[in-house]
Amino acid sequence: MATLIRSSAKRPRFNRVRALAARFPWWIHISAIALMAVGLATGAYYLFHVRPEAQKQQRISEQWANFDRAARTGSEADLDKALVEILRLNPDDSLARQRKATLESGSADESDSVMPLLTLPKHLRTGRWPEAEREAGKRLAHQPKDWLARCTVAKAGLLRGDRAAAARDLDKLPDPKDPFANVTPASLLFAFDLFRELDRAATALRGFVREVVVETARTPAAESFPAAVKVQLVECYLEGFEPKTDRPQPSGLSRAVLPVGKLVELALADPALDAPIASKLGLACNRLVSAFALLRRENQITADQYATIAQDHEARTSKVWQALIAHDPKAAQAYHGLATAALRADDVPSARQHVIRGLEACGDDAALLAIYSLLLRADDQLLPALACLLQAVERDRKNVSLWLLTAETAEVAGRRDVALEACRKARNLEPKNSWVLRTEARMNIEAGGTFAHTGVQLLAELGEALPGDPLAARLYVRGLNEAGLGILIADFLVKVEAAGAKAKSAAPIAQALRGLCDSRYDAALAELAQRTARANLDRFPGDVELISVQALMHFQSAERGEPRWSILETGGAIRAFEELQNRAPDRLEIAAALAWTRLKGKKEPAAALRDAATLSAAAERGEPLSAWQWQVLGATLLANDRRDIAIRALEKSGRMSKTSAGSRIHLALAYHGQGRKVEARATLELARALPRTAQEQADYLDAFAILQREKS
Amino acid sequence: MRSLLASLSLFGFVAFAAGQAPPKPAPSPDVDKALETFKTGKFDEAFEQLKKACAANPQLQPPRIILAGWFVQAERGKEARATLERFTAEEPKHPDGYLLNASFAFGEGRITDAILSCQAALQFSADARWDAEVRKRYVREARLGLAASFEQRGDWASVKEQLMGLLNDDPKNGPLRQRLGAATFQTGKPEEAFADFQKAFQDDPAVDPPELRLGALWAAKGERDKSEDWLKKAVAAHAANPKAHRAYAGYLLDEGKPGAAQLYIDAAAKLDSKSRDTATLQALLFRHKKEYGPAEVAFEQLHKDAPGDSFALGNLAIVLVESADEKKKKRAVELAESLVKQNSRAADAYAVLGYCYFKLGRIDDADKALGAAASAGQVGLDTAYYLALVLNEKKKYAEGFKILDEAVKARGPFVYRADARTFLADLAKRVPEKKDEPKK
Repeated sequence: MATLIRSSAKRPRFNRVRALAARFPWWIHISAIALMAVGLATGAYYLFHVRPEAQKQQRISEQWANFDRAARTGSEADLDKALVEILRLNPDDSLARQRKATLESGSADESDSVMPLLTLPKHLRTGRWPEAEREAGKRLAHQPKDWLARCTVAKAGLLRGDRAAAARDLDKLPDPKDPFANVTPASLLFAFDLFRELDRAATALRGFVREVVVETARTPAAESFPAAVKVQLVECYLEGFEPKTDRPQPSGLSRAVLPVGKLVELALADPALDAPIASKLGLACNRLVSAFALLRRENQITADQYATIAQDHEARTSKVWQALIAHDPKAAQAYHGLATAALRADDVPSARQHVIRGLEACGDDAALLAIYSLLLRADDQLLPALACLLQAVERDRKNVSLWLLTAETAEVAGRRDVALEACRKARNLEPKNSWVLRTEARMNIEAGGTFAHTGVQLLAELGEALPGDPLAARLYVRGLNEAGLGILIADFLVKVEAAGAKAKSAAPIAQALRGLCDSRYDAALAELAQRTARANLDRFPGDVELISVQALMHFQSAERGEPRWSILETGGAIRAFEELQNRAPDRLEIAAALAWTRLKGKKEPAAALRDAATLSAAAERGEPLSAWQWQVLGATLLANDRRDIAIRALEKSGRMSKTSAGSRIHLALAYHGQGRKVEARATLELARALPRTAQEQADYLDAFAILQREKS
Repeated sequence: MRSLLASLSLFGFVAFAAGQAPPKPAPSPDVDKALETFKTGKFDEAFEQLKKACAANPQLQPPRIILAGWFVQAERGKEARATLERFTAEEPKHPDGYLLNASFAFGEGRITDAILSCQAALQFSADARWDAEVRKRYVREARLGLAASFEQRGDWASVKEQLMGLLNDDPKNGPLRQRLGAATFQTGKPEEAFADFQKAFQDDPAVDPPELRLGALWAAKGERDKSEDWLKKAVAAHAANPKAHRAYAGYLLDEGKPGAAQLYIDAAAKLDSKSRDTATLQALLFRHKKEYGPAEVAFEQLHKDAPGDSFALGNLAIVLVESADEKKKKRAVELAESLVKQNSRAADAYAVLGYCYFKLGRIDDADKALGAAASAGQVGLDTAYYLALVLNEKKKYAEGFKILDEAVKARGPFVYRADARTFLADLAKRVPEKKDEPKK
């Protein structure tokens, strides 16, 4: 009974509530119950549906955020992970499904403006140009200003051979400062390459480098870029330099000299540095050497600054190459880099060591062989140098520069046949390369004889550009004369004058006329040269080059005309040379010609010796003299009884020119004067076998008579 | 002029013909009267008049010899031969008869007969009845005949023997010494040959410069690089001689280097602006460069100045047919047809006609004309190109490819070489076995 009786003490609250509730009408009761039911339902809905859904959406958002982060790093694994999770959370998420399909196929949906940003670089990295072009097109449909996409389409056009289409695409590139362009160092370098391929001026891009890239390099943020991006930044900086070295460098680049150096250091210290990045860094360091030198030349950095910068940079560059070797001991480029750095420091033994180490590690690498040949050449080991180069071109037959280096080395080594053949090979590779054409033409024209025709025909291929190219015009005139086409020279000189008038410069015509001075003497052409020089001096008064031409033509007429050393021509030559000496006292060719004229024309050895003092001084300073200048010096000294030094000068001349009869004739006399009769006769015999000018023939006969007298 | 080979091959015959053609009688009114009678067909009367004229003037050749010569000029070979036979029967030891016989034999390609006749003339010239002057003439003509005949045979040692005999009596004769040089060259002694040419030029500056002769001989031998070397030397050594520049320009055009040729043509034009040879080269250069407007003007002028010049006519036809103007194309065909009429045995003429027909779409006519060109012997390189074009139209791709492939690989004059190369590549796609060949 006790349990049945409800104790009011046990359930007081409930009774009170019940009592309270009993006071309200029934409808209140119903409403309250209904409200409670709704509340319960709502709560349950929230607890079992809304809240999980919200949590799910939040997780999905988090995954999309992960996706965005992964997109920035380009990590496909992370992208895929995020999408898988999104689809797990929401299998019906069409966007996630679509993007997952994109990751698998590499082809973004046309409506998707974001995925091409991922697919495009992926295809570019793997060199899949048609796919890259496709994705670039999709990106451009949404964002026509996208820099990378536009460059990709242009490049694809170039690969198809459609330069016009590529040019049109490059015209559509936006201002690189436009935020929608999304320019990165890599895409900027891409644009520079395209501009180069299409031969377009990249002035605007270089302006961007100066304004934006330089400033970016100076920010602390740049220091935290990945190593590869740091290298790209340095490369972008280098692109900011004016490529034509005869033009001034723009201001502003010097502001980034130290930051760029720091970027190199940081990239070097980056644990992510690998062989490919180190290799690019090394090449960039090489280019920085020239870049800093250019800035110094333009006084954009002081001499003291340059000394420190250069020293630090050389040390850094060597470290980069050493780092590359550490990653890849067979990286020939690294040994090449170390060797060239050593050469810059005039440390030839170290350079040689690096090259030899490189050849041992990498085998016969063409670039290493080339530098080895230069070292041999510096040691006067010309034939071994040539052998080295011939080995190098066997390894790298399409390297035009290597063929030209081979040609030049062969020429110096006296193997003209090899030189001309190497030139032909270079021209077969790049028929329109004007440098190659000029080199081959020069060698042919200097070879003389029937080769002059080949040289002239080569230069004629320059077409309209020829008259305005002073050095080529000089060779051409010489070649025309040597080939028997002197009758064409007058008309050509008219074209050269027109080119000079357009450029407001006497250089083209002066150089063209020098071509006549360089070639065989012809009285009519000498007269033409004098007339033309006089007429052009009216236009360009006091031009030293034109006055030189006049003087040299007088000299030639005096030495080679009939009669030899006529009073008129000899006097004219001396007057012209003296006038020139007043204007350009250090010109060696003028001093030599004047000394020779006095020695042979006026028979005034003492006066000739005074004129030759310029040559002596230059020789003492270690300046290079030509073979003929050494000959003049030697002959003048001999005429003044200074036989010992005369012999040294004449021997040098003979070594430099294997076909010079003049130096050998005077050397024979010098030996004879020293009592070295056997050497004298042998040397004169050598001269006998060589072609001689009229002066040389006269000298030969005199020398022969002297030696014969002694013999008898 | 343009082809050194052509000039060389004519060399021997012309030289002999010049020396051995029936000598023209010395001018005499009686002889002239006889000639007029001859022209009326009264041969016997003309002979009687000649007899009287010769009796009055012993310097004249025997009347039957003169008459035989007139029969030759009148293209009455049978009568000429009969007259000669009668003379030789009457005068079996007279050199004139044998010399004339040698001339006939040489013209008909009977070289052995020509040699035997000349040798007989040489033998009978020793007869005491001939005075020194007349004997000298007989010996000279006999030796010239022998030299030309041995040249045809390629017996160079014998050629040299005869020419040296001639030069003994006429040491400063430049053309003879040049022939000697050519013979020396053929015996494998180019340095000695050059010395001969130098002497010839020294004695007679009107002959070709020595370097040029050597260049031509090397070209005839197929040694084009050596030929070019000597042509370059010719230009350098004889800068004031337009012949040297023209020769090298012609070589360069034949090698397909019109840009280089322009230099030398310009030089030749400056040295001799009125020269027809230079104008011809310039016109040809325009054609090489496909500057058909100026080429047409130049060839038109050349044709106008010398309507019988088949080279100018042929090139004019080609240049006109390349035009887009239908009237010019039709005129081209007319000119080509008249070219063939003028030169019915010349393969080149048929080739030009064939190409003109092709350009007008008359493929069957083109085929016929080019067939005639090909049957005349060796097919020229441009002709091979025209043939290939027609064969392509007739879907005979393999045949066309074969002909054109050989032509493109050969050296020599080939104006359409670049077009031929392009067409060959295109033709290769239609030749089944070439299609399957891996691309190099």
